Amino acid sequence: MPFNVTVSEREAGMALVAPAGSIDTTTSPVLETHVDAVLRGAPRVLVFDMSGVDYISSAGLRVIIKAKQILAPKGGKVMLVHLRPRVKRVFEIIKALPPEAVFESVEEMDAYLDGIQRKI
Amino acid sequence: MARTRALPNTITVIIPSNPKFLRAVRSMLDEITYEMGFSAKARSEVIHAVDEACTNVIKHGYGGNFDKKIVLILRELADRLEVVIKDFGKKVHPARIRSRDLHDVKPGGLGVYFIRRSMDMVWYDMSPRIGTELKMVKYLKRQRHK
Repeated sequence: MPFNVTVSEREAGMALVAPAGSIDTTTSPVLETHVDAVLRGAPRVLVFDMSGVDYISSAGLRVIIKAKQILAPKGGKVMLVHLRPRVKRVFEIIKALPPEAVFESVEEMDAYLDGIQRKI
Repeated sequence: MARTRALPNTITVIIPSNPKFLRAVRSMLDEITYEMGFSAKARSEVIHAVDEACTNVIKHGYGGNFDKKIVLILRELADRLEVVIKDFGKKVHPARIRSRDLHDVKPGGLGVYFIRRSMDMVWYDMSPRIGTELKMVKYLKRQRHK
């Protein structure tokens, strides 16, 4: 399966990045290029839709962690949705993201964000 | 020393030091670890450890040169899978193959961190005259296809 990345804006300030294929040392630079472009727009929330990702190596993890580190000081968040079990296990093994950043679906993530919004 | 079944099944695979071949290696490991009865989590761990180790060989041992060779030796034993990854590149002293913290996103080191977290035993054999042998062991722990 050839690797590709789709980028869209779900709503103002919320970018959606959807990679498809294996994120490894050969494909992570492609993902990084797309993510860097998104980060230049300073989104409030960057969502990775991982439904099309069947494998992620440390090179791919690095791209996601880097995005989190760039957004966090500005109050931004990185969230992941639709992780396949094998990909989810990678994040679990190395505890790369807190549980509140990983969601089964976009709807679940929306409900979480709505909850935060109501508290403000 | 634990006694293990005689006649181990050993598979030797030689691949070019090109990352594009690692996808095939991952598929092969998926099949082998499934047949051995590893849990889904353990299979992921073995696949990732070998993928990261080969990536490190290409990047550090061979300096990104894609036309060298990597030898993978997989030995199936009753209670474990033994993996040897041999390269013929620049020796990197084990003291310098340090595991980098997850949140340190500079290049290198995260793969080593992953290997050490994923496998039960990991050691670097620097004794070959040329290159390095990375030896790793994953125990079955009687988990079957969870």
